[in-house]
Amino acid sequence: MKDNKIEFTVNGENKIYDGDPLRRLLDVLREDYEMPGAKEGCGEGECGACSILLDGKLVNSCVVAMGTIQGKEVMTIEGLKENERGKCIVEAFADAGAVQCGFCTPGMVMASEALLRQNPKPDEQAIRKGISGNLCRCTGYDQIVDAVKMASERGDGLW
Amino acid sequence: MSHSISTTVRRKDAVAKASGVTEYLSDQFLHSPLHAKCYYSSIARGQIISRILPDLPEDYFIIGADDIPGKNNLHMIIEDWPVFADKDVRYLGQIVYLVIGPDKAKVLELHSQIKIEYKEDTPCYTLEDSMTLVGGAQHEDDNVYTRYDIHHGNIEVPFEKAHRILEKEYYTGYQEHVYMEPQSMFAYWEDDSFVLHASAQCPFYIRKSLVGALGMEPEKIRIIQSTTGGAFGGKEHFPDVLAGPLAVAVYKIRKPIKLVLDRKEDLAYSIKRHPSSVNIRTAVDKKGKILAHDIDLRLDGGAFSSCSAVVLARAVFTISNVYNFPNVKVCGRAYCTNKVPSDAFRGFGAPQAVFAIESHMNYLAYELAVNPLEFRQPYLLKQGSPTITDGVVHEKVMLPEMTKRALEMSGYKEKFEEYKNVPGKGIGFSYFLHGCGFTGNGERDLIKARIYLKKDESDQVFIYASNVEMGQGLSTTFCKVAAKSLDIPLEQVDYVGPDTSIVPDSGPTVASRSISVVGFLVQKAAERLKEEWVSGEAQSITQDYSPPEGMVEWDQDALKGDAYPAYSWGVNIVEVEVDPLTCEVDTKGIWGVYEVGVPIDRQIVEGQIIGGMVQALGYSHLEKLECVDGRFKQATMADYMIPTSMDFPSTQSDIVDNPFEYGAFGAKGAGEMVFDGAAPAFGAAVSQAVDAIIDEVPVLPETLMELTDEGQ
Amino acid sequence: MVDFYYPESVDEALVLRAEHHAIPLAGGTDLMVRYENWSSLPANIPGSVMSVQQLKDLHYIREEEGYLCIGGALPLNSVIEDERIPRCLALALDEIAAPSLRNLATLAGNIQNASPAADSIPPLLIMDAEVNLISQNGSRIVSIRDFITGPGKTDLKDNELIESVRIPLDFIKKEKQGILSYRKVGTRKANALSKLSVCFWAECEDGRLKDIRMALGAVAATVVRLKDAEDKLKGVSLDELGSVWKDVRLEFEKAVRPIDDQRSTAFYRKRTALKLLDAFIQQASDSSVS
Repeated sequence: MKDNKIEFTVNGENKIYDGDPLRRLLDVLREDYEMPGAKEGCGEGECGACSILLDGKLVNSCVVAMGTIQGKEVMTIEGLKENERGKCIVEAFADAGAVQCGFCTPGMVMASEALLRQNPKPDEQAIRKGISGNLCRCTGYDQIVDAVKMASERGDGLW
Repeated sequence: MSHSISTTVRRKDAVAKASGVTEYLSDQFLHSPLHAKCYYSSIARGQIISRILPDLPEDYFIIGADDIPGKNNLHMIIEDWPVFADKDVRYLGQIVYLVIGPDKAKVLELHSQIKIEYKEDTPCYTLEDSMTLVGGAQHEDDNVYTRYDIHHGNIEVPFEKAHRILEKEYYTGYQEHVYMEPQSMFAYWEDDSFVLHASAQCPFYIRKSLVGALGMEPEKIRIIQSTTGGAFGGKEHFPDVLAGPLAVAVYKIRKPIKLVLDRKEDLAYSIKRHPSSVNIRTAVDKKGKILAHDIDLRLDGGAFSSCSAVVLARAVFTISNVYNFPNVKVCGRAYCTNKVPSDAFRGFGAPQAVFAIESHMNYLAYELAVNPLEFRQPYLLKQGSPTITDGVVHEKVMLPEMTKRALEMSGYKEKFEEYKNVPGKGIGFSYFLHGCGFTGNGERDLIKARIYLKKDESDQVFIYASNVEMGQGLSTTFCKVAAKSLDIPLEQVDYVGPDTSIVPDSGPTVASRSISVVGFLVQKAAERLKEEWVSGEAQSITQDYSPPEGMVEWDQDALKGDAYPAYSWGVNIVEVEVDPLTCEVDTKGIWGVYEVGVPIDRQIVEGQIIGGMVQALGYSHLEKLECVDGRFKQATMADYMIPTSMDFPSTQSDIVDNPFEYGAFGAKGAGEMVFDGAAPAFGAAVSQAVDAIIDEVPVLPETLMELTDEGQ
Repeated sequence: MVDFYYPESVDEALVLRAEHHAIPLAGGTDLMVRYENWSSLPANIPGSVMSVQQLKDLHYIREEEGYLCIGGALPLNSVIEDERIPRCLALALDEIAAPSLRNLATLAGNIQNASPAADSIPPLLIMDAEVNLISQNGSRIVSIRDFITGPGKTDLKDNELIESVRIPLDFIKKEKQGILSYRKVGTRKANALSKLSVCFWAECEDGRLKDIRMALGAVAATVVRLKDAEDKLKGVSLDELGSVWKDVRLEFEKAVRPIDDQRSTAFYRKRTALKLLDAFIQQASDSSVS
């Protein structure tokens, strides 16, 4: 980090941030870059609505300080939805009835991507565990579990 | 018989939501010239003696009661909830000021400099406090917001003749909605009108609530619903409470202001589900037959009445549940206390009532040493049975078929017998129903729903209604109903987002009325449009509500007649295992069979079933919310525990068709009914597992530990 | 704006610790929540702060001088995925929060947080784990037991960093031969803070209890290791274990004083802790049969 400038990428695009290092990645994505796909549901790492991938790993962007992401790769739903895997998951969510109010869904899609990267053929228990940090108040989760299963089957070879 | 309307389609909103393209309020207005932060009262009851406010830099404002152009109250059912606390404070968390400015850090600094001095009065925290008028009466002379008495048959003789009288009291706790999107709104002044974008269920409710406070014509108040990230009743009246102060601020400042609660504020100060206490005395004869019930039903309404009267009505009318009891007396009351007001929450009084009566039926069966399922059978309502309000069950009642199906799916009977001898395991059963639409004369006399159906020159059809999409699938099901009636592709129909300046008032998005009642108007309008269809021409249809025929007319004074035109029905079975060491309850199986008339999309209804079930199981044992000295102890989402994906197994469900003549393609309500039955089924299962009567939800390991340790 | 540093090396971090007492910020799962601000405003962390998660020299797991050493900045999921870590620790870490937070949170952070309910601490206590604390003056090794001095309080000096957590290889080698009981009691099955957590381990040999170790979280101001009780039980023949335990249990009952809070009650915590202990002693006694 030179001259307090934080360099990182978002969805493959280079970014330079020189604001307060204790701002949350969530706020910078939303307000500075106008990428509102990650949502604030709780602000304390409990709900997962703000989930993104940081160097390929699922994290809650509401607890990530800007000062800690020098040189890292950030992927948000805005990036994921453009690639084949993202499209596959989104379609599966739509077909399985996994979307209701939708506020948790982008985070849930990110969690699904992170899980499938680790385990392309997860069983029900692995799926439930993989999304356990992403709270959904509408669906009761069953149809989300179906969606991840469906994505895993349809997207065979993508992960 | 399966209806083609039930065939699943892809939800219209699914892809945009899942790919993060859909904008919720905070996304739509990422930047705002001004931000508002609520300043809340810090005591539960008392008077404001003095206020010290900081000097304000330019562009910073502290808006309070003195700034209100009209009356200092919000018009909900009655006008008791002030826009801003002025002299009196009735709960901890009442909005005293909005602090507003462009820089959030500065707003917080000014917020911290406000000093209010109170003279505290003795607060009233419990139903008992309220009944005994602790600290003096604060609502009329008895603290009772609303009282509803029901006399169905006559209970005096049966109680005199009774062989046994069995009595028990049942309690249910608070529940917080935890819609994933916190309360959010953005408002500004445009020409001579106030414009508010809000995450809300009832745009016209907000408008109505502001008319008196702003002293403006309703037409000059425009409410636009933003994509709503969950509501469950939490965005029925509570948006009024935030819109009031925000509207006053915009009226004065005339600049756009954003008000979004953070999660902690939302948990601490937004409305909750009514806690309840229901005492049931039952007279039984020698053969163990129920002769009469004497029921005392009390709801803790909190500091302002909001919609407690209506919640109470539904609780009272639902207390006899699916049973035809010959003699029932109910005394229902909603009380005033010095806590955050209780308000609408999925089920709206029915879950409390169903928990009490179903748990009581189990208790009676236990005391009479009979099988709880068989015990219930002679009392089940049938077509033509009288209701508790001396109305009639008009529809065919499918409970026998539903029971059979539920028993097959779950293996209930075998498991129930087996677990009698297996400590720690249990299986429980519940019946429930939910009246469709507004209670009593509401639809006819109060709501008078109206919708428009418009077609443009390209033959694209648009549905204009005030009912919102909040996750339940309305934007898809409304379009399905219209497309099916018009016999055109689903893509050719669009749902217009509610905006009070362009859609007619088809009523609030509540009471499981949207698809059944308003959807029926959509169907009727579409049928008319089909007849009048001229391709390539703009056309418009207005459709008004007309009440179903053949009803027993509702008398609001006597509380007699058909409280609801039809009911949705359900059977739930829950199987549990209780850990002998920790008393943690593990849910092993969940089954449900439902009758919702005709499902306007099987997958959407299944989504409601599973979601409602899991939310209700959270209510049953995870979601502890304690109010101590007027403050909720569970202050964060790390402490108030809603279910995760790991907590429950998959829900196994089935749906039985039974078309309702006055519902869209035969549909009745589904969204709320699916919540009503889980708590008593869960309680019954735990009851068998620990061999003790469960009379309270949430069922906590802490309670079970005390219960099961008593014998040691 | 707060002074924020981004050291490129451990040495540089130690200079920042010495000169500015900069608070080490790794995953942020504790600090960013504790000092949460209104959205879009920076976290209100008092004093100066330095990022430490990028210090690759603190991302390691290796065997060293009879210890398995876990670098202070390694995220929990990386720890869990390593097959060399003992089972009791893996079980505990796997139940901390949710996958996304475990990608950020570190073992050092969980210890430094020093919550009475910290999930990693019961297993670390029964293993007699240590922390290696480094400063410009060198390093010092402190047992976990001594390191945590009170609720939210540790012995970390304002010029020091937690370099690593050290687990005796001796224990790891024999862990499998013993009886292990790890149990987290939370409100729900995932993403929950503990109402209480227990980690018990015992080794039996020739019909006697050769070694026993018992630690409990969230039943007192700090996580407790029941050393006195262990000493009284060690060497006891398994046939007599039940009766000896009865006496020891009485002392234990006096010593454990949990509290009522928003998550549970003192009564429940104490009773459950006792039941779990009873069950564990029973399990150990029964092992003589097999």
